[in-house]
Amino acid sequence: MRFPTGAATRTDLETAAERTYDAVVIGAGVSGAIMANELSTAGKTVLLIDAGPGEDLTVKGYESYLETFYRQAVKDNQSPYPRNPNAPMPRSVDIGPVAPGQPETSGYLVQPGPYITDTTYTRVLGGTTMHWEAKTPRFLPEDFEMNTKFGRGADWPIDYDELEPYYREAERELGVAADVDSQREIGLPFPDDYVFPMHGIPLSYLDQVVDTGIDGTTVELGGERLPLKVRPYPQARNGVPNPAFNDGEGYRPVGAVGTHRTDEGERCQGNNNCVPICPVQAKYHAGKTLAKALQTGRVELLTQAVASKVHIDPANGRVSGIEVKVYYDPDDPAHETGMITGHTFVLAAGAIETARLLLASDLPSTSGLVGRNLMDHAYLLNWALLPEVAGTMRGTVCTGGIVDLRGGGFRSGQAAFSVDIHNDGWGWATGAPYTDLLHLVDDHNLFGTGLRRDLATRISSQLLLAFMVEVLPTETNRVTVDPAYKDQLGNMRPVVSMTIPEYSMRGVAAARQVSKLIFQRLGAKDFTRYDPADPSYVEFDGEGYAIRGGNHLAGTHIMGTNKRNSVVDANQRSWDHENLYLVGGGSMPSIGSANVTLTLAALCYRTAKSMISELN
Amino acid sequence: MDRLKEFVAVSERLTGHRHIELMGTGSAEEYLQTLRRAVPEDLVEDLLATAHDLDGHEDAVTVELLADPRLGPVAKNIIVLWYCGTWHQLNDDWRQTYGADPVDTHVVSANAYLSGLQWTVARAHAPGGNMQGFAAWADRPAPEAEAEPERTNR
Ligand SMILES: Cc1cc2nc3c(=O)[nH]c(=O)nc-3n(C[C@H](O)[C@H](O)[C@H](O)COP(=O)(O)OP(=O)(O)OC[C@H]3O[C@@H](n4cnc5c(N)ncnc54)[C@H](O)[C@@H]3O)c2cc1C
Ligand code: SF4
Repeated sequence: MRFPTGAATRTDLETAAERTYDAVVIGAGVSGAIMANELSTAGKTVLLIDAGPGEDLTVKGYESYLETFYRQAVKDNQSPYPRNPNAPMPRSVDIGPVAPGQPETSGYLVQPGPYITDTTYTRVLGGTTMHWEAKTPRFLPEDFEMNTKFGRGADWPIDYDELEPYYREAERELGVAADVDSQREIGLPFPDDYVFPMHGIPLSYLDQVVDTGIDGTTVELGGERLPLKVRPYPQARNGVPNPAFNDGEGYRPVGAVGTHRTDEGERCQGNNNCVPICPVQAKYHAGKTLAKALQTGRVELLTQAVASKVHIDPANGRVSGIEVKVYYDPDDPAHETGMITGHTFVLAAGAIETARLLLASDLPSTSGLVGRNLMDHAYLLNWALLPEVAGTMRGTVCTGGIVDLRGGGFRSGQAAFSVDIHNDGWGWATGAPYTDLLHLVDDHNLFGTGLRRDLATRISSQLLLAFMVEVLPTETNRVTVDPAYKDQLGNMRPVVSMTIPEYSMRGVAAARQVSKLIFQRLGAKDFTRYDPADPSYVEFDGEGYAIRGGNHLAGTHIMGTNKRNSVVDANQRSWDHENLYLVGGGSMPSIGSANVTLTLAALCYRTAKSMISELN
Repeated sequence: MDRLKEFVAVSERLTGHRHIELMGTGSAEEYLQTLRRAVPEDLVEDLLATAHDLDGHEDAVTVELLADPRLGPVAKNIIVLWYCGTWHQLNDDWRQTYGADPVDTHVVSANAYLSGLQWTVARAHAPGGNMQGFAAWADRPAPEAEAEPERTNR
């Protein structure tokens, strides 16, 4: 995919400040890129603003991320992306030991605690998709009707059927590989003749070992017996195109983004490194959509530009402009400030940053819900050694999982969850395989062929099950700002208060029981330990669990049916500011147990359509 | 024998890998340089000599080399170098006692990371490199190459 040469530096603050664009979009992640692409394709002029470092997306630039990654001793999931004090991002390694009663402030997110999340997002061109894992399940129809069906959380103002055509658009843009029948089996309706752009990514050998081992096992949840079965995940990564896609037109996979012609559509090679960076760009990232948007010639890109304040006209509540701070060097606080104007404004900075910007601008809000109802999946990790070598450490990070517990009547009492089988072993939980090596050498004094044999077995029979547990909207889970905490440019940092609601903790407790059952069926030895000193440690019903952040941030500007119960309407338009759209995970009133990105992309397609007719 | 040859010979015994496997990583010289930067030269010499003298006495390696307060931590670090491509910082006490420079924990190079033996023994590859190709993950993993049987402490 060609990135037009010089597109990242074609405009500057002075020039941009003189123009009035049809739309000003803040954030060049997947949400912002889709909005820019749709609007510009419809003939609208767009200014796209991003806080991240501003160079053209080139293959060389991408490879420098990769080189940085290889050389990091601690490969946390932000390790390819250099530090940028002018537009900082949360990094799990920054979280320090927390003193009781003291807020956690060493990471970018200020967290009063006691629960401290290690969730992240990325502030570079392309946003968090540079770094995501690219699982792309749809939400279940029942996820849109949580209140009606289960008396829990909130209903969406739209249902599955209304979003379905936009899911298809998102699947085309992200290039999703999946077999439609495997998705129908879990209760997702599709048009009769639908096929995904690409055939499903094959299950790993490890998935197959688990599936054989749990064959015939059922679990009881809320009085219902549910079967356990390993099923493939839909994924936004290049596999084998399906010639039947789009009425027999087929699908052309999109490859690496660069300013020169590059090989189109390299297939996933099983690098097992989708997080934090795919070496061959087989995985979708928003740079692919961004390059397309820039090719229309109607999108200007202003980078190293941090939106700092939204200004409104007090007479009518409309946004009159957005103040941005443009810096020259990530390490140097020197910057220029300017005012950007347009007919409409779209905030697509991610659930936490969009809320942060609104709150820092001190705008009036009828519902008072800006920043509230922050959601993220609660991850519970469980790890064990299989009695056989199962080929762990090969393939994409995750090819299959157990998804039959995503829906059912039990959701009136406890959270649903899906279970990821990690092809990358215990890495997430323990830092394996490095820690395995240190353990065998330091604690067992192993060396030579004994070490070689034991390490081989220990690595390739690792099984990590990551349970992704649903979290419902709770008003006290929220983003706020506090002038006591600012970044290098003087922008207030997000203050994030999160607790894991009891409904979710019941799901967590059930998840732990299910993992024990699975390990038992597999004859696997359970090594799971949750450290009470872990800042993410939560006690429930006499047991303790470490709850990892899910990176699926949502709910800080939820959509609803009126200006008192929500921040935006079903088109993601702000109730209080007529020409302002807030797009992304923040609009979701619930997140079920599906990764959020495909759904937020579908929402963007729907919003773009209504914005275009509005602008016309 | 030159220093590199001695180093690789000792590494063979410590890692359980053959000369050809170690040289195949392309990282031998970098590892020796890293070692010489991090610990005094006389210690490197003693370590190589001790390991050489223990040839054929595998049972003694644990006691005389790995458990030796001066040489053990360095011998273990050589193992970690080969398996992970990472130099693991020696602790403060050890460094003060034996006069070594504080060389931080670091990945020796991108190549060192990619060629870490931990990946090959697991019939896998370093995340982010040396991939096996589309759908290879669906197959049963290849059996581990037979290691030399006499070089073991088990
Ligand atoms: C490790 C990891 C794994 C993940 N795996 C999956 C997965 O498998 N499946 C899935 O569905 N989701 C996954 N996600 C989540 C997914 O990445 C996000 O949902 C998605 O990228 C959100 O897109 P967005 O465009 O709304 O926001 P972002 O991608 O966060 O983009 C926001 C953009 O706004 C810019 N910005 C921020 N603040 C400002 C400002 N003040 N001014 C100007 N610009 C600003 C940023 O630089 C960024 O480019 C994962 C996330 C992580 C971290
Ligand atoms: S497995 Fe590798 S090649 Fe495939 S998408 Fe992930 S990082 Fe890219």
